[in-house]
Amino acid sequence: MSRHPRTEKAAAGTDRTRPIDRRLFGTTEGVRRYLGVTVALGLASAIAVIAGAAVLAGIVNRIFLDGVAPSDLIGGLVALGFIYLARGVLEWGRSVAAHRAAADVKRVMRDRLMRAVLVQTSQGRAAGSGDLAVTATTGIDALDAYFSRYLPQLVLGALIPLLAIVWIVTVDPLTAVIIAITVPLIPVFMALIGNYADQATQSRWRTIRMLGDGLVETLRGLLTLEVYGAGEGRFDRVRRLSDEYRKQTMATLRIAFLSAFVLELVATMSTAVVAVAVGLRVVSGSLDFEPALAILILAPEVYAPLRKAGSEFHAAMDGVEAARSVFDVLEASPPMGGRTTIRPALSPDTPFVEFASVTYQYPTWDKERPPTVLDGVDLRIERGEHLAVIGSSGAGKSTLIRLILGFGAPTTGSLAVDGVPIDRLDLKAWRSRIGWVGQDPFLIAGTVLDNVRLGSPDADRDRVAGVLELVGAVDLIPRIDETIGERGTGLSNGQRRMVTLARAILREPDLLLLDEPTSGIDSETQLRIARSFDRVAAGRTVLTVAHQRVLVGLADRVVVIDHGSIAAPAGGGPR
Amino acid sequence: MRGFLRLLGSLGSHPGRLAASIAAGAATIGASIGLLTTSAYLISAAALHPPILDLTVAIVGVRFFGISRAVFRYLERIMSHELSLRLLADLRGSLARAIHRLGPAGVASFRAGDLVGRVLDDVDEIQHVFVRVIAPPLVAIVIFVATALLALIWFPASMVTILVPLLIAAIVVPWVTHRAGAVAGRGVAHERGRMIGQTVEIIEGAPVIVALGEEDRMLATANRSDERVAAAERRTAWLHGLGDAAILVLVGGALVGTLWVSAVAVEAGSLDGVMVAVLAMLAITPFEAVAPLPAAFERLGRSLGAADRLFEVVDAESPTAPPESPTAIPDDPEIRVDGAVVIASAGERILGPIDLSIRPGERLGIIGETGAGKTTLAHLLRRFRDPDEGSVSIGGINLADVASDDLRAFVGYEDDRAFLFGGSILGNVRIGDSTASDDDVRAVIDRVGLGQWIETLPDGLQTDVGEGGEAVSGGQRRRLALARALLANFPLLILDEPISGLDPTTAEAVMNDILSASNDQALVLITHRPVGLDRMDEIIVLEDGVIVDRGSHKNLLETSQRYRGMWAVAASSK
Repeated sequence: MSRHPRTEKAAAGTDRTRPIDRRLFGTTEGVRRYLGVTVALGLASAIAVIAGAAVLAGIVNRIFLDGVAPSDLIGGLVALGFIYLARGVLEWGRSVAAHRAAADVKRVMRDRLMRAVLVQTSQGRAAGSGDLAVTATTGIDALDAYFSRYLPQLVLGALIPLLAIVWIVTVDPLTAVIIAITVPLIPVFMALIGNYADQATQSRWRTIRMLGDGLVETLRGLLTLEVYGAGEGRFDRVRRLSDEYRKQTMATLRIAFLSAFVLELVATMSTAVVAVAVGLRVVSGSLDFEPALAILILAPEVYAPLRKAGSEFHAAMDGVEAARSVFDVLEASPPMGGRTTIRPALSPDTPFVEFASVTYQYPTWDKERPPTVLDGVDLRIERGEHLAVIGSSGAGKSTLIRLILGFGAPTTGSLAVDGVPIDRLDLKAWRSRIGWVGQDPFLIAGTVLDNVRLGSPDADRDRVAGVLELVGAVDLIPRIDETIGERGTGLSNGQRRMVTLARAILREPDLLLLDEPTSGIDSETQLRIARSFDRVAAGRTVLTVAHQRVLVGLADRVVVIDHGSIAAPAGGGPR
Repeated sequence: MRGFLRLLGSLGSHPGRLAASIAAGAATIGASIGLLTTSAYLISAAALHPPILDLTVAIVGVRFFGISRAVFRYLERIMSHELSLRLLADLRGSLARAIHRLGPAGVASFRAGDLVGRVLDDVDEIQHVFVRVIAPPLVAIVIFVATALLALIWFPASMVTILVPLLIAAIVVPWVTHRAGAVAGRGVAHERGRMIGQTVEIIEGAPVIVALGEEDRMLATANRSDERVAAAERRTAWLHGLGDAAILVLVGGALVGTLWVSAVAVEAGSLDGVMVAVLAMLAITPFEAVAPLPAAFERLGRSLGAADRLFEVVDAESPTAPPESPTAIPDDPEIRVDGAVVIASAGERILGPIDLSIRPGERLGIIGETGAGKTTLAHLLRRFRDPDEGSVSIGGINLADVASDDLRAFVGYEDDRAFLFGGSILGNVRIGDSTASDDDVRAVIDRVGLGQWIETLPDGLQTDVGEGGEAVSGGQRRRLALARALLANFPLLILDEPISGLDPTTAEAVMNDILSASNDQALVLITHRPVGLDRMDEIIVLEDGVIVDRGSHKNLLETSQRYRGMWAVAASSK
């Protein structure tokens, strides 16, 4: 069930999510206004609820005990109708305010999150994981439940009992005492039983999840089961697993539903206790019928908002949880500091890019033993040369490229461009001189043209077509206005690589960085890339890193990297 | 819609549980009605100062309803979830049987790419369908009838004033808000989709965007989409609270109407004044039953779609029929494909005509780009599907006439996923032959080159490979899959892309182990990378579903420019 992971997460979190996160209310001007509106409308609603009860009791009293003619009741009935109309309008207004506030908060939070991710990436700090994309979309959307259903009920849950008690004290102090004692029991019991249920269910959910996974696995491993004839038994097991899953889930739900049970019990039993107590005092004549009836009508309304808030608690907390992870990212993101930019004084013997004893360790939580990716790398890349760095996966090849792009700074040692240490470089200007073709082609939803033009928005169609031809992707020229989906659906892997290569070349880069340019694509495209290499590389400095030697043969110089160190020059290419 | 009706039909196979669950749901709301009407009666009667004994029944009633509501609610939640889970088990059972019947080729021919993923999503939707969509209207109907009966007994004139607003709240309000919402929400879904896509692009593509200096432009685009979504949400905000507000106004209407007819009747002497407060409560409380209806209505559309899709799978026919009179496979048979053609459901030819033969112990290499039809050809050889034209035969017998157990024992198949089940290495390899001893398993693991690796594992053969085998590396997973296939000792083994996604060194090593470990069985090696093909007896080059070149490796190097090109690329990477 989709609730399981959440329940487990909530229970496992040492740091419990609090129902009200102050940071959420500092997000926008609109939210603070919304909070004001909610409280004001809530106050008006509470007054309407109490007035409604009083008016209704008055009308019943006049029909029942005073024997008033129907025509004399018109005024009261119209007033009652108006009160319900007013309650409807207030409810409506509250809902409008809530949804508007939610829409604003969601937009602002998403925008800030995206900015923070870009800034942190730019500064070379890992900006969280793939979870962030989920948080930014469905996670933040869960704030709807928080703003439109949970929070207003929480406000009402506080206001209605408070005002009701103030009014009831004046007519029947004893009932006021009963309500004053029972209302706080609801949140107290919820917290106590919620905690107990969370703990009691935590271990069970794991069993249940395992059972659920077993079902998924059977479906995913279908082919294997079929080939080895292990299917029959296994498919019968789906049935048995499902039954086991049901039994375990039910055992857990019996506990999990307890908190709702207690909530209901407190609310309805309190109403019953009030009704009986009030009824007995009416018999004895110590309380009049009219206030007694008003109290009875009011009693369920006093408990209703808290009950509703309780039933929305989990949905709302999903939103708060998402908001919290967004704030965590935002708070880890100080504004970009200004850089001292130095204009390089070029001398002919300054290398273009120079790594001098560069060591790089991943900034991780494991402060004791951060993994060392580069270990004392010395590497000079001269202007105009075509250098290839080869090594097996994990040898540190991609890290070289990341450092050149300024995504992270050497832990020790120095990296200089045109003789200027990279930490004093205007990174934006430096990156504009680089064409980077990464391992995993990044494509946006849009046309082929949009994608090639990403990074050079002013290029015209003819130039884009020219570059596509240059890199050997002639098949894409007639498809230039074709829309491709997210992540480049509609193109083959090879075509995606071609698009990113064309994108890099369109920028007329001084330095071309090719990260595994031929991995994961068909041999036909590999061949095309190899054939166009001379044209593409002409007049540029090229750094190719690869575990395959496909383009390596075309390099002027090849070095081998092994376990984070330059092992040995592997000799020149054939040219 | 038909799928949803089938779902309702399967509810019918649990009539007792269904009735109990609905009864408990109705009793919950009934208890609220009972609590407030009895309390109102108690207070009204008390106002006439009767002897306290006369009120005992009312007092007991109030206490009973006060406690029973929570109990009924608890029972209702337990019972409705129990029923949901039973439905879920039924559905999962039929889905598993259906997927089993369809087989890999049948599953692959389903329109959507990831059938299993889609099925799981739909099942997720369906497991909530009883609690959220089916039960609320049934409960509302019971409450409606009960309210009508009470009104009829107590004061027939109040039936109109209570039931008409209740009916409007139950039917008109959900329908109108749903329609208005659908109109206002048109286009928003599309805009939302774009906004989500752009958000994900920025977060996942952050390094590329930064490197390209496109931060501002991408952010601006995403922001414009999000602003349009927010604007649409602000526009539709007034709709969201409309249902709740309308129900409140209808409660007011019911109350005012009921009080009016009561007042008239009390004056006329046809209604006891004690009942006025009771009727007022009866006018208010049944509305609790209609509150969940708008949400149920909203959800219905999604559930209908999910149910239809699921039953489409449940009903799908197997791509292969079992043989009517199975014939045994003769000794040392040759497998022949004669003019086999496969046509996709859209009518286009995706494979063929193909002619080829595989003799016992022969090694056949099939090379071609993604989408060339390699896997479809493999599916024909294993009879996951039948050719639309031509035939596939074994020892002169059409595959369609071979008993499926015989065929299963003869032809083995491993695809590029090399799927492992969560559990031990031993258990996974033993899938190949459940009677194999630990020593047999160890021997086959040595053959595929994993002997030393196993030694280094603290738990040895008992090591858990993790869910879907994710705890072991790609190369090891391929080798383990090979080990189980070898243990099964298939006379013909098909390996579909056994080295895809592996780095060249590992790929080379895995291929060596494949070729040396598979000794005398016939082998079909499917690949898009020409590694190991020089050790095949024959190679066919597939392009767009047809064989464009064939021959031995040496032969092809001389005659086929295409093959030479592929080989050159592979060779240059050594």
